[in-house]
Amino acid sequence: MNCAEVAEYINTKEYQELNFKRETLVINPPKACQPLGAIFCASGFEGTLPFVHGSQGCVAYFRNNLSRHFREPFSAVSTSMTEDAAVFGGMNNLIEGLQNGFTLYKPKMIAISTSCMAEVIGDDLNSFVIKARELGTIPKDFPIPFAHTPSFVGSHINGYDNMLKAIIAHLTQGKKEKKNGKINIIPGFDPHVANIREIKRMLNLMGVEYIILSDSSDVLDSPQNGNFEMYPGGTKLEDTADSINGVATIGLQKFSTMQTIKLIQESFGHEGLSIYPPLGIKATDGFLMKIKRLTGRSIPEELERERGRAVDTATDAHQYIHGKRFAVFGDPDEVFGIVNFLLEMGGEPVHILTATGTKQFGDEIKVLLDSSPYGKQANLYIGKDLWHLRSLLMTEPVDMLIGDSHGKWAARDAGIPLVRIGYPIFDRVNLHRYPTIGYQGVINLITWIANTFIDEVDRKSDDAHFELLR
Amino acid sequence: MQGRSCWGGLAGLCDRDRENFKFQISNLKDTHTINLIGEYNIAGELWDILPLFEKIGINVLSKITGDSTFKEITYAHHARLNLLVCGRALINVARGMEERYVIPFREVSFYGIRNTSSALRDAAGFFEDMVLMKRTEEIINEEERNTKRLLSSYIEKLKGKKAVVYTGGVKSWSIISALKDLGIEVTACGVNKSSLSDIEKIKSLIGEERILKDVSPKNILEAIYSTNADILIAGGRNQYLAYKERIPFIDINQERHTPYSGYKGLVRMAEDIVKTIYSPVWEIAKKNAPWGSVKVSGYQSVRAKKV
Ligand code: SF4
Repeated sequence: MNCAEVAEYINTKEYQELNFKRETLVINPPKACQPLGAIFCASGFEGTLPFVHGSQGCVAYFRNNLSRHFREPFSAVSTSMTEDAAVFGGMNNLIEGLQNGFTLYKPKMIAISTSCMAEVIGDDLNSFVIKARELGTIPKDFPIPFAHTPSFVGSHINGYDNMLKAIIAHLTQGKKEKKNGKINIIPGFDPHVANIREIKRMLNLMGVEYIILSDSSDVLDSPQNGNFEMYPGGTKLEDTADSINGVATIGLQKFSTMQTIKLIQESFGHEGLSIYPPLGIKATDGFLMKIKRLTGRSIPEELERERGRAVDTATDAHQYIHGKRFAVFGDPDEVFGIVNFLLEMGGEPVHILTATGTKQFGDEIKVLLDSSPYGKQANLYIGKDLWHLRSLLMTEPVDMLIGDSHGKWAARDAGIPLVRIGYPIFDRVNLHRYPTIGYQGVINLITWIANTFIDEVDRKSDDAHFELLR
Repeated sequence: MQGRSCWGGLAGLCDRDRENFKFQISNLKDTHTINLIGEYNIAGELWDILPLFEKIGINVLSKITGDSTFKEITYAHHARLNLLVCGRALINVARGMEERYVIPFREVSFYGIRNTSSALRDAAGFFEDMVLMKRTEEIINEEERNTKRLLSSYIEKLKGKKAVVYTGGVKSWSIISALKDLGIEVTACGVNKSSLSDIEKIKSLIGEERILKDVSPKNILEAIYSTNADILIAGGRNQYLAYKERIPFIDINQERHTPYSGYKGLVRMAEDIVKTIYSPVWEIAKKNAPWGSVKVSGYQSVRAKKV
């Protein structure tokens, strides 16, 4: 076969079958490493130095990756393990790293995660940290939560979960006092940091007091004031400690907060629940109703009017989305939320693909799809990559792809637009500053999706059909 | 150029158009020539109609005024028959040409299967040419069969639905007939822009009691609620009135962007109507916030009473 024939062949059904038989090769998996999720989580705490025990190259890539998505500096350090550490163990690197990190960057907390090298040789973080304290490298009461985050299992969402669980467990130890009346919110691995601001705004409107567990909104969306600040915000450590005294904890993502929610259910002595992301009108209704039930606060008229505006947006634009076919890929929670939103608008998800995702995720999203006439033709692909997705787009075309920037090649080959939602987004500006959740999120999602379709119509129109009204 | 026919005059100066002109002149000797009067190529509707005439072998000399040129209007009087599409606006042109050039005219419409077929049949029948008539019947047959096949899944969803129609410029009766082709019943029709003969036709199609003389927003909404209509089919300025009241809607007026005429247009109309009526957003819109404190007021109270 020559090049042209190959280019043709990879679009065929026959090639797709071979492609899906692939076992020992992964091509462009839409996922990142556990420690990337861990340092993202750590950065959302006040004065916290994200610290990776492992090789330096990993951390250079994580920082670069996060930095490009948020267009913000991202601080994290590594213990720079090299060959000799691989042979003799990484204890010295870790202790030296803690000392340097502590003295150079003056953090209030160091949150340790690991890259593959440390995990492969089986370094024991617990004993190393104890050792560092014994040696006096680090003060006895200085908080050093740590999490093992091997990238050969799970992905960034598990890294996030493991790190968060470690931080919360560490800081809340022995802090149980009387109830503080606050509600704890865990945003999950959410690359749209505006979602955290949106949640806070809604809770403020309801007059609910809250603690956000890992609040990266001020860290990864910080103001330009002529100064680089290493620690521009984040959840206060005292607040994190106090979270154990809250009235309830809600995880806004289900599959990226599993371990943490479990810990809370077991040790906080209050209701800990995780919900599907409040994407879409009904899901947002559900979220607010839960907050109302848990806190006894009523939902103010302002939110009701906002809801009305979201419904108005949906009715005004319904004809642009109803009946359109979509492919969606990304992290399980985000995919779940987007699919839910599409079904609400009468959009038809046709290909749903995640790199990670458990059987539980599969079972639950199937129930969601079965609940709507628009979910009937959906096919679910768990543990697949973007090269699989490309085959699907070529043999069974859709009108739009929704996912992160990595989808742009498949979308281009298929001749369809990509609406960028998820992580990472490297090739558009500011999208992380727009919420996707809540009523405001409904307005944004409809705006992006409908306008993209209209742009397509304009782009493809000849002179005679290029119209002012659309 | 649709809807901007004056630009066509400029286009008439270019070389390509001159070629076109020569071609047309040679066709003047053609015996089967017609003009389309009052067809404005809204959203490109004309381009679904012209190929039909080409197929059956009738030469459309001039379009007045959709996608037209000044040149083609200069030889319009060579046509043997005028088809008058929008009777209201250009009836005087048709009458004038009848008086001055003895060109008879037929009023036709291209909305719906039956209207489109009978327009083709009328035109073909005029020329007293058995071969032309036979070919026309064959093409009508084929087009109708094809259209009905394309429509079947839509009609399944639209059968028994009710619509309120207020079309302004477009002839209401022809839209009513097109909707009938889709199995939709028109429960009320605004007529304040229809001619008297149009109103007579509307009466014969839906009955006098369904005619709506007062087309204020309040009256339109009341007609929808009192007849339990599923959709409003009207001009763009009523679109967001409908949406605010959670009523499905399609735009039928001159600024719309989908061509609805001819066989193909009817399929598009069916698709658009299904899309809006069956959109799941209405389900959400009809339910207020679950903590519901919104009071039913305004026109909603009319609906509340009806339900
Ligand atoms: S897979 Fe492991 S070694 Fe590779 S970048 Fe990720 S953490 Fe580092």
